[in-house]
Amino acid sequence: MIIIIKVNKLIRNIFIAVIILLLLLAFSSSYISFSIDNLAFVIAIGIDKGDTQNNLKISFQIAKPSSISKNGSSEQNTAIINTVETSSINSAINLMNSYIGKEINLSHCKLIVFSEELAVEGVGNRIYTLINNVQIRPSTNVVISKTDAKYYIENSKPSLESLPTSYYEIFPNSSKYTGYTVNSTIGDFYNGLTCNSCQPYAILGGMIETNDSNLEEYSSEDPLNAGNIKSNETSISGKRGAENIGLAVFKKDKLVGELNAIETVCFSIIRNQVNGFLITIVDPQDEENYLDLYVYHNNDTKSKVDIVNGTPYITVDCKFDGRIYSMKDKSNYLDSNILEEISSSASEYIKLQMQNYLYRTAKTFNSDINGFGRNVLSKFLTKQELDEFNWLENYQNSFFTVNTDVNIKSGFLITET
Amino acid sequence: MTDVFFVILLFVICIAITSKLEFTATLKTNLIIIPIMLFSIIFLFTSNMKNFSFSRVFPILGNGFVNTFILGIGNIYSFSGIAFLYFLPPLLKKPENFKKVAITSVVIFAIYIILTVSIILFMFSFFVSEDEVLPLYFAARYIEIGTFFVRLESVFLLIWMLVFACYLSIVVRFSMLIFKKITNIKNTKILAYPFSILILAIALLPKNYANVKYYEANIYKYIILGFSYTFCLLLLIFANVKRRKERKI
Repeated sequence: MIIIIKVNKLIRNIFIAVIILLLLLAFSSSYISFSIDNLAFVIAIGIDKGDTQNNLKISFQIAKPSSISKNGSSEQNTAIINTVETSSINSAINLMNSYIGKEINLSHCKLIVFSEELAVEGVGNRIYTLINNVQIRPSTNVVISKTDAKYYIENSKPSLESLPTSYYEIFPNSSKYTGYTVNSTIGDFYNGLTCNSCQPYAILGGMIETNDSNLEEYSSEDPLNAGNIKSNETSISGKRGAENIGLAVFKKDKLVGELNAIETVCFSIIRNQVNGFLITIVDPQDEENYLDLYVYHNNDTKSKVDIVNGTPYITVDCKFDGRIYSMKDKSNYLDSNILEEISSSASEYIKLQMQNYLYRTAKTFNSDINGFGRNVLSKFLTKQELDEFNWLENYQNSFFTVNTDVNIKSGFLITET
Repeated sequence: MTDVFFVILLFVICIAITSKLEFTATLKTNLIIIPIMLFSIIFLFTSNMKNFSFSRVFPILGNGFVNTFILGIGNIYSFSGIAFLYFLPPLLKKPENFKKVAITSVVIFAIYIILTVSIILFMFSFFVSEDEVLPLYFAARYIEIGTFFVRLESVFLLIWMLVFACYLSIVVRFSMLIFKKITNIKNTKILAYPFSILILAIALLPKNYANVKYYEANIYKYIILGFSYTFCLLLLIFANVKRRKERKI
């Protein structure tokens, strides 16, 4: 009996040893799994139209360990850019793997840049391919560059951060306090592509011109038109060559237009993606002067869509509070009448800008980037009825009513001079 | 990449070992793992709320009344776990609590089914036309809490792997119980190995994901609808009729 128990135990122990060995062998690929030294981390991808038909020129900005330069300066080249021309993104990655000798890893890719030339032809297939990649995060930002994507990436050198990745992570956040750009990710873009009630959009990128004559061309004499700027058309001069102002409008997967700074603010207002923004209006007390007001949401913007005789009728209600930024001599903002006049002017200004923006998206672009289609879904009982209405094509027939209410409270620290 | 055979083998070895232990060991392990899984679903729902668009529940009838309520009634196969309830009464310490146990488990299961479907419905518009391999995994990739808590989908995968192992352990355990009743064998522990190998063999049958989807939509669905609902309901009805006749006699 004891012998039988001992034999059973022996068999059991042999069995466990065999299983452990089997599992060790099964997962032995872990022994050859790549360490960080065998991987090349791509932080940005630029996709341009190739010189040969149907080819793409794909640029990979790859992070490299910081190196000390010969003269010991503190500036360190923390990334390199390699470009390859091929037929698809995956074959470009394959070629680059063999060229650089390390395996490309897209887990830390923060930015995907398409050139305007390519975006006009359509980026749908590339977006699907990138979304299908397990390494690409849905939070990776998408930029449409008015210049070559490679040129844009080369000039996206951070001036206030040490690493390009930090810059790529931080710059979309400016959308919350300026509204001049948007935090458009590849996940949002993919959602917009496959959505039957909205359209995709992307960050509009471009280059600043360092030529002084361009400064004169693009600097606005009329402060009221300061919001009409967009990437490639600003008067900014600085160390970093790339800038991101405006929004790229898509219809399905093709680029159909661009929004300037103030139109992007309007987009952000409707989407409730901006905390506050700056506007410049004519001073109601003195028409030769201008007032800078910082405006922020009082409540979330509400949108309502009604179908009137088969035509969409869209109502947008926004409520804002605001503070006066600019001060001049002999200003008196303790007078409630003056504050009401300023509030009324601000309200009219925002209303006008929003109406212009909305009609532009409907009549010029016929692209519902605002996502009003989501408000119309509840009007239909079945998907077939929705498909028959064809919101994406019917959007161009829309009429808009914008109701704005701005309440300017006072200056920030000074109310009277 | 590790061959899928070894990944499945890992689960199979796990359930073979747990099946050799007492049933209480399996149940107590489930008692630890399942609440973690339930919490992970709630966490997935709440942390993705900023990406939700509640209007995606419309159009309310979807592809039409007939497709939603009449043809769509077949989707009730998602409640396949109800089949376990039929074998539960002899295992309960207090069989008189069976009704309470059954209702509670079905309600909790229904709530979590609604939560998981809601996550996918409110987040993505493309599940209407496209299909994903692991929709919840895709949703988990969107979770970012600050800049430190990112890429949490790997934690979810780890939890769900443990849940798969728990589920398979329960399935094998009940299979052994049923086999014992049918064959009247004394010791069921020896059955752990053949059942585990059977699971391994069947799991390796599909050649690709398309085959798996086909089996799920066209074979498994009708097995559940036929057995768990139709057959068991008919059995219940006939048993009741027989009982009433016996009482009359």
